[in-house]
This record gives sequence, C-alpha cells and structure tokens, in this order.
Amino acid sequence: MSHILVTGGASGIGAATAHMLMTGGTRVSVIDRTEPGVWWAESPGDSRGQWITVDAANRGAYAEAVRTIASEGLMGLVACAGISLKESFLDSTDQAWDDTLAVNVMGSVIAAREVARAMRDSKRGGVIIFVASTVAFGAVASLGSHYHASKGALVALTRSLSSELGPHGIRVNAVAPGLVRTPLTEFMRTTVGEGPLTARVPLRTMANPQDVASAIGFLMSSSASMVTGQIVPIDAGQLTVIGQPLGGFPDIVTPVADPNYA
Amino acid sequence: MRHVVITGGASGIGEAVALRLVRSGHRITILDRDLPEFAPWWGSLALENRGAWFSLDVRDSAAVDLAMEDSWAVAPIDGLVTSAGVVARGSLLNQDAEAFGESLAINIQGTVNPVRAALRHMVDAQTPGSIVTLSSTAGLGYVSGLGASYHIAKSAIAGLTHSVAGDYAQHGIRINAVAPGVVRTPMSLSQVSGQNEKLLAARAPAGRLADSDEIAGVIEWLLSPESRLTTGYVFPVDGGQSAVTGAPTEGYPTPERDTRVTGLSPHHASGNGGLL
Repeated sequence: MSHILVTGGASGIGAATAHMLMTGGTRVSVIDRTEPGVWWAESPGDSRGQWITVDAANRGAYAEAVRTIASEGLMGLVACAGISLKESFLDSTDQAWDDTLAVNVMGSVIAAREVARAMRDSKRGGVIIFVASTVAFGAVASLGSHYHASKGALVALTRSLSSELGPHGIRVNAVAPGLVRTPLTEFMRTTVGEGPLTARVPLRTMANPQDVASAIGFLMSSSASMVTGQIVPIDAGQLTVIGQPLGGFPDIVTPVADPNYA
Repeated sequence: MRHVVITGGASGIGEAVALRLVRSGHRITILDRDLPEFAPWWGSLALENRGAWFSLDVRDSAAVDLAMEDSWAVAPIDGLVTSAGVVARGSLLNQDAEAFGESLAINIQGTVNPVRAALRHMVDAQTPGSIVTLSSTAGLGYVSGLGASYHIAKSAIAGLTHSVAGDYAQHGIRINAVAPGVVRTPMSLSQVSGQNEKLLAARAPAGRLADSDEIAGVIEWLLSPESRLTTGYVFPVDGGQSAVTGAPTEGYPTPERDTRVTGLSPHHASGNGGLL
C-alpha cells in the first residue's frame, strides 16, 4: 500500500484528492491548518495515515510535520494548501503579499523539499504534484495579483524541480485548475454567477474538485511515468483561448462524456 | 466499452494505444497503410474488441471519409487517435521540395482528414467524443536532428488542436494533442544507434527514452471521460525535456531510480478515477 501526503487536505481540491486516493486503496496523510472533518474519521482505518494540524505560515512546525510523515516512507506529495486574497494591486498591502506567498509558495517549497529529501534518501523515487492555476498563464479578472504571482512561482518551481530531481527518479508536475467549485471561488460564484463565469470557457462549465483530483490521480499513477515538468490544465479549455467569441462561448448542444465518479 | 479509431495503429505509438485500449476492454478500429497481416496481434483479438481494419493512405480524404463511415456503422465512434505520421530529418537546405511536400501532406493532411471525418459523424449524431492528435516536442520548439518540415507539421497539428477545441466544445467533443519527446519506436530506432541513444536520453531530466506504452498511457487518459475538463491542451510526454531551457553541459545522467518503477499503481480509466 503506497503512502501519499496531501497538504491542504481538509477542504476543496485537497479533500477530494485525499478521498479519491483513499477510496482507491492508498494510505493518505494530511497536513492542514484545520482539524479533520467527519469524512476522515469515517474513512477505512488502513487508508488513514496521520493528520497533523499546523499552518503553513508556521514554517518550523510545518517542516517538522512533513518530516514526521515522510519518516514513514512516502511515494507521493500533493501540495494543495493555498489561499487567495482579493484586493486589487493598487490597494494591496505588504502583509497580504507576505501571507499569500508564505502559504502558496513557501508552504509548497517546504513540503516538497522535505519530501524530496526523504525520497532521495530512500532511493525509491516518487511523485510530487503542485496545484498551480490558469492564473499562472494569463490574467483572471477578480483574482488578486498576489495570487497570480504565487501560482506563477509554482509553475517555475515545477519545471526547476523536474530537472533537479529527475536523476533521483522523482517526477514533479502540477495541475492548473481553472474555475473550480471550492470555498476559494465562492465569492466569484455568488457575485458574478456561474453563467457569466463559464461563458469564458469552451466547455461552459466549472470544474468540481473531483475533476482535479482525477487528474492528480492520473499524474500520480505509473501510467504517467514519462510525464515530468508539466502543468496539466483542468480548465474546460480556458487556456487554449486567446480570442473568445463575442458574448462568450455558445450554449452546449451535447455535453462531454462524464466519468460518473463513485 | 468504447469504440476508438486509431490511424497508424499497426506500429509504434498507435500500436501501443491499440494494445492498451484492448487491455482496458475497448473496441478498436485501425486505419493504416499496412495490411492487418502486418500486426500479428490483430487476428488474435477477441471479436468484441476488434472493430475493423482499413488499409489506406491517410492523405486520401475520400478513402478516409469512407473508412470512417464504415467504422461508424460497426459502432458509433467515441474516440480518435491520429498517430499516422512520418519523421523528416532534413534541415531546410537539406530536404528537396518533393520530400518536403510529402512530409507536410502525410503529417498535416493525414491528421486533418480523419479529425474532420470523425467530427462530422460525432456532431451529426450528437454524441460526445475525445480526439487525441500527435504533435511533438518539435511542435513546441527547436529539436536538433528533426527537420524543418517536421517542425512545421507538428506545430500545425497543435494549431488544429486549438481550433477544433474551441469550435466543437459545444458539441461535447474534446481534442488534445500529445507531444512526445524521443520514443523507442521502429521509426526512431532505425536511425538511432546505441551511442546516439545515450546522447538523446541525456537531453531530458528522466535520462532515458520513452517507451511507446508510456505515451499511450497519457493518450488513454485523454481519451477517457476522467479528463472531461481538459481540451485544447498540447501535453508534452517527454521526460521533462520541454521543461528545460538550459540543460547541464554534460546532459542528464542515467537516473539512479527509473520513474517507471515507483511502486505506484497504473491508472485505470474505469470511471472511478485515480489509483483505483
């Protein structure tokens, strides 16, 4: 049974990923700033690793938590912990920049560094996955500049680590979700609405956290053994678009095939 | 069970996709210039996995249209993989006009024809579908040893992928490309000696060449409904080569640990995702 660490595993994409991996028979440990929810206690006992409650901004304790979990042996890391602040660039404070970069960038760096050291020492290789965003490739209105910058940093980090860690048999990839129904996008969904938001994307839909988890599961699997240094969009086609139709993409005639998640 | 048409399915990446899909229980139809006798495994497929085999030239749009119509009659088509193609190694001053044109025709027309034919049926029938085209790292940037016509053709395939993704999303059709680096296929190995292979492998962080099945693994995911929100993406499957702008002077070493052997499960596109 392989063991995988999910940071930010309490909600959103992290929780969906943890749940999907556990259902598939993987042992999952979680680091999050919040305590485990009911679903964690109700998951099969042998799929439950450790849950350590600590904030990524608390660097020393965060690294210690990762080391504790990695000491059991880890085949994978999914670094999902992230925050998004909405203030405009012109109104942004140093504090907001520090907070965003501390969690989104340094949190991912600390987790990846501790895990990669353990993987190198074990000589068993492994897989590291970051959660970037479509904002790393183009501006998305109503998301903050600090959020954009932090996700761009994860793209560069993915590429850099794929190069440095490749010789150790460690693959490093990222997913780039577009609009996902998570707590992080709740304000956009309630203020702008899903209709106008999805008019920007060819497939005219928002992603569910399970869609991102599914891509993470694929990148984590041995079927992706030659995939490293890549940033895979789960974006309903958003990144392929530079000039969208006036008035947005047309209504869906036929929906795409759906996987029917269990 | 889904029905997937594969061009160039007699060998190389196309063959690896065919074998993978059969293992997952799907039905496959092959369009290839070769006869089915070329692929000894075809005859031993279970009847429900064996769609049809059409020996044709993918440049011949009428022949491709007809084959797609007959394929659809076997069973509605859920997926298409356009892996028919030829490599061209001459730089711009080292490939004559005829070879240049032929390379563009096979790679570009030979991709457009089946994509258009399959699209037409899917749109008319109002059924969703997933198409995977074959670009290349040479469709993303400069790759030494591959020719100008090859770079042009593989960029064109990326362009086709973007265009169709935007225009046909409303019809439930997704289209993505894979961009392999150097893969061990009859096409590449016929021109790569042992010494060269080590040099080629040193260009990518993975430190080795890809096996066809490793490209097929990504294609299978893109075909499956589990990638339902990914479209218009050109997916490099290259051991990290395209992530590198400045490689170490001596190249990447042969890895101390091969990424194929990590103790992770294969991905099963069975509808419940992940590592199931």
